[in-house]
Amino acid sequence: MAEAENVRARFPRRLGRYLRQSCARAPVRLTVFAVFATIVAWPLIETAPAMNTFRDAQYLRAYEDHAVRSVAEQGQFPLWDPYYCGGVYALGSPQSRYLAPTFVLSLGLGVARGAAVTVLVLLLMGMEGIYRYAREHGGSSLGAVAAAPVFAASGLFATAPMHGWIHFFGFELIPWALLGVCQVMRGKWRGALLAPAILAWMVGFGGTYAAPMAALLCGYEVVRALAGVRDRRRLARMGIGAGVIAWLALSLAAVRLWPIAETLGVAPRVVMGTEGYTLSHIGDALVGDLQLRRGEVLGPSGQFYVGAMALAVAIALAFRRAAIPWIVVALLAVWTATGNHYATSPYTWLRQIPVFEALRYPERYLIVVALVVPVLAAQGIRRLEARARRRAGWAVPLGVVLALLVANAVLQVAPHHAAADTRQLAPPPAAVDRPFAQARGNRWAAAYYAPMSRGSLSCFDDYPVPMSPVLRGDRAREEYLLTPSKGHVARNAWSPNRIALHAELDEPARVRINQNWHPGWDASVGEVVRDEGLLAVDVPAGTHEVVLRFAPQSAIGGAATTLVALGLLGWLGLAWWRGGDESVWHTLRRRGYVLALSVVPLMAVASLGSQPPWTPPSPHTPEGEDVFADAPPPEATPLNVALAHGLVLEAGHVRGEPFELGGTAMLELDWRQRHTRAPPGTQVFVHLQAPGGHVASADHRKLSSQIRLDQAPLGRTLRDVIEVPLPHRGRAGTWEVWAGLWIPGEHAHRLPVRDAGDAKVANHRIRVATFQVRSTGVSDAP
Amino acid sequence: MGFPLRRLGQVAAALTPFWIVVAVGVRAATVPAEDTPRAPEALRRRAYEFVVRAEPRHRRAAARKFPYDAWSQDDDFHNKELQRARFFARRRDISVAGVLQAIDEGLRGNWPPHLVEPRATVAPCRPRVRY
Repeated sequence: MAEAENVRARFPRRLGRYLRQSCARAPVRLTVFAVFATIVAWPLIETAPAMNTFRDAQYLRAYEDHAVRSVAEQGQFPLWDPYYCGGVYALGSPQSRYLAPTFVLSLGLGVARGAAVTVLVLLLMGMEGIYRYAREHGGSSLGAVAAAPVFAASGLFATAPMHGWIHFFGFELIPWALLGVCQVMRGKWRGALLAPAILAWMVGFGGTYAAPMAALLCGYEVVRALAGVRDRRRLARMGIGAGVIAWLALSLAAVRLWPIAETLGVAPRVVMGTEGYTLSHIGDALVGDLQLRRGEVLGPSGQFYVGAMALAVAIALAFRRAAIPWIVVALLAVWTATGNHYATSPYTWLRQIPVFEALRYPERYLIVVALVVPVLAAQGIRRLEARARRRAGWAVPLGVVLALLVANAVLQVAPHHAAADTRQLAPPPAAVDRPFAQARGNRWAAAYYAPMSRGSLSCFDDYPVPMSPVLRGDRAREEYLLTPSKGHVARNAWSPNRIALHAELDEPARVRINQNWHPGWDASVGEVVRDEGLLAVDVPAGTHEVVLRFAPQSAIGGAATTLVALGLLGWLGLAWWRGGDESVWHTLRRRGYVLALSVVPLMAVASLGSQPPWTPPSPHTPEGEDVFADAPPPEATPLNVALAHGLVLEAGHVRGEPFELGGTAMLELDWRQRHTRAPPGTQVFVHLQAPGGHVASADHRKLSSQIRLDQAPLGRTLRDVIEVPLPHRGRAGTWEVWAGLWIPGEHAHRLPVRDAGDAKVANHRIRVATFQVRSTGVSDAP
Repeated sequence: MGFPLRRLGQVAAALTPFWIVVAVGVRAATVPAEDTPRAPEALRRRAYEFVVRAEPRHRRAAARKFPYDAWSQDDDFHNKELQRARFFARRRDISVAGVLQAIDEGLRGNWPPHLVEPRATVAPCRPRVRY
C-alpha cells in the first residue's frame, strides 16, 4: 500500500522528467513541431496548385514566377524581369523573395506548390527557433515546446498567405538571428556563423520589415548583454563579436542590399501605411478573433494573435526580477505599435532612421510581443518545474499552465484555417508557348501574363517604378527601328538578360526595344541609349549581330561581395568544425583582418565607374512634353515665389485663350525643389476666381497627373500641366488663377510663402495668371 | 546482427520530422490542378468585344474618380476591366486567363469592335500614398 502510494507520488515527477527529456531531444521535438506545422498549413497544402487572386498575391507571385522562369526556362540568374512594368531590375525589387534557400522549393515544385511547402518549412523553423531562443534565455525545454506555437503560429502568419505575403514568413527567422547574437555575447562563437547567415536569408527573402526589425532586436540583444559587464576583455570580445556579425551579415546580403539601395535611391517607397493602433485595437489584435470576409481582413482583431491564455500565462509567470527586461521590450513594442495615435511613440523616433523611415505600418512591431510571450512562459515554467521537484503540490499549477499553452496552440490553428479558406482562388493559368511580347496587361491579374509569354505593362509596387511612358502593349515586333526606312531588324534570340538581334542598316539607326532602360544594359555593337525611357541602341550602318546584355554593376559587385563573404563564413565554419567556439575566437583574434576581404569586390566594382547614372525617366505632360525641364517654357510668366522647404513656383501661365464657360483651360505651373524634397503628402491647390468670387478648384496630388512633388528630382523645373474644366455658370470677364501648396490631414495647412517674388500673394496663395472668359460659344479666333 | 538494424531504426526515427515534411511536400506536389483548356477563337473574340466595349465608359468614370492622377485612373480602369473579364468568364465556358489572353490578342490583332479605340499604353506606376 505504502509502496503504491509512493509510486503514485513519484509519477508526476517521473512524467515531468520524461516530458522534459523528450522535449530536449531534437527528433522528438521536431516531430511534434512538424505535425503541428502540418496541421496549421494543411489548407494551403491541399490547395497548393491554385492561384490566389488577391491583388497583392498576384504581383508577389508574379515576381517569384518570373524568377523561376529565368532559371528553369532560360538558365539565367534572375537579374532582369521583363514580365512586369515593361522590365524591372529583379534583384533590386524589395519584394522579390527568390534569393533565399527556399527558392529551390519554387524551382522544384512550381511557385504555388513551392509557396505552400515554404510556409510549412518556415513554420517549423519558427517553432524550433523560438524554442532554442527561449532555452538560451533559461527557459524549460517543456515550456519552450508548449509555448513555441505562440510565436510561430501567431496571427501575422495566419493572414500572410491570404494576402500572398509569403515573404512575411521571414519573421519566423528572427529567433534564429537573435539566438546567434546571444550565443556570441556568451562566448559561443558558432553564433557568428548563424546570425549573419540568417540575417542574409531574411534580406534575400524579400520584404522590408523582417530584416530591419531583426537588426533592431539584435542591437537590443547586444546592448542588453553589454550592460552590467565590467570586465574589459570580455567587453572587447563581445564588441568584436557584434561587429563580426554585422560585417558578415551586410557582406552576405550585399547581393541584395546594393541593388535594392540603388532602386530605392532612384524611386523611394511611397505608400503611407497606417497611423498605428489604439491600445484597444492592440488588445483586439493580440487576443481577438480574426474578422474575415471574401479574402480580406476586417479591422485589427486577431491580426497579431497570440492568444489570451498564452498572454495570461506569460503575465502570471512574469512576477520576477529577471522578467523585467522582457516586459519592458514587450511594452516598448506595444507603444511602438500605437504609431502616431498618441502624442509620441518610439515609432516616430524610429522613422528618423534611414531604412526605418520606410516602415510605415507600426502595428507590425507587435510581432515582438509574440516573441516575448513564449520566452516569459518558458522561463516561468522552469521555475515551476523546480518548485514541483521540491514539493509535489506545485505539479498542479504546472500542469494547468502547460494545459493552457496547449489549448492556446489548438486555438491558434483556427485563424490559419479560416484565413486560408477565405482566399479567392482560381485555377492556375495554362502555359502558352510563343515569343515574348509586352501586353497592356492588368496589375490586378499580374500573375496571368508570364505563363502566356506576355509581360504586363500595367503594374503596381510600393515605389514609383521607373517606366517609359511610350511602352506599348500591341506591338507586332518588340524590337524595331525608330525610323523603319533605314533598314531592318529582327530578333534572333530572346531571354530576360540577353536579347540577340540581327540588324541590316543602310545608315546609322536607332533600334528600340519595348522595355524600360536601365544603366545595366550594354550592347555588343553600337551604344545603348535611353530613348524616352525605353531601352534603345544606336547602331552603325551595315549588317550586325547585336547582342544586348543586362549586367548591372550593383549585381556584379554585390554578388562578388556575397561570394567572398560566403567564403569567409566557410573559413570560420571550418575553424569551428575543427576546434569549437574557442577556435573561432582564436581565428578571429589572429586573422580577423581577413574579413576585410569582403569589401574588395565592392570597391573594385564601384571604382570601375563605367555605368551611367540611373535616373528616373521624365514623365510626360498631357501634350507629350517632358515634365522635367531645365527651365520654364519661354511663354510662361516668371513668378519666382519662394515657399517653405526650399520650394519655388518659378513661373506659370494659362494657354488656349479665349476661354468659354463650360470649356477647359490649360494651366501650367512650373515648380522647383531647390535643396530638399517637399514634405510627403504635399499637394497643389488651384483656385479659379471669377469677378463674383471663387468658382472652382483644381486641387491635385500629382504634377501633370504623373508624379508627386515629393517624388520629383531636385534642381529641375517641374512642369505641372493640367486641364481645368471651366464651370458652366459664372460671370464672364477677367478670371484669376490662384495656386499654392498644402498638406492635407489632421493638421492641414498651406505651405507658407517666404518671398512673394514677382507675384501677388495673399494668405499663402499665389496669383498665377489671369484670363478672359466669354459667356457664349462664339469665338473670334481666326 | 540486430545491432545495425536497431541503429538503422534509431536513425530512421530521428529523421521522422524530415519524413513528415517530405510527405507533406509530396502531397503538395501531387494535388491535382484544375485544367483550363484553351477557348475557341470565336469565344475569345466575343470575350474581347465584351470587355473592350466598356472601356470608354470605365475610363471616363476613372477620370472623374481620380482627376489629375493618370496612374490611378489607369489602375481603377484595370480593376473594372478585370471585374468585367471575370463576369464574362463566369457566364461562358472560358477561364479568366482565356479572357485576358483574348484582350491581348484583340489589341494586337485589332479585333472588332472598331468603334472603340482601346488604349495600348499605360501610365507609369505611381502608387498613391493611401488606399
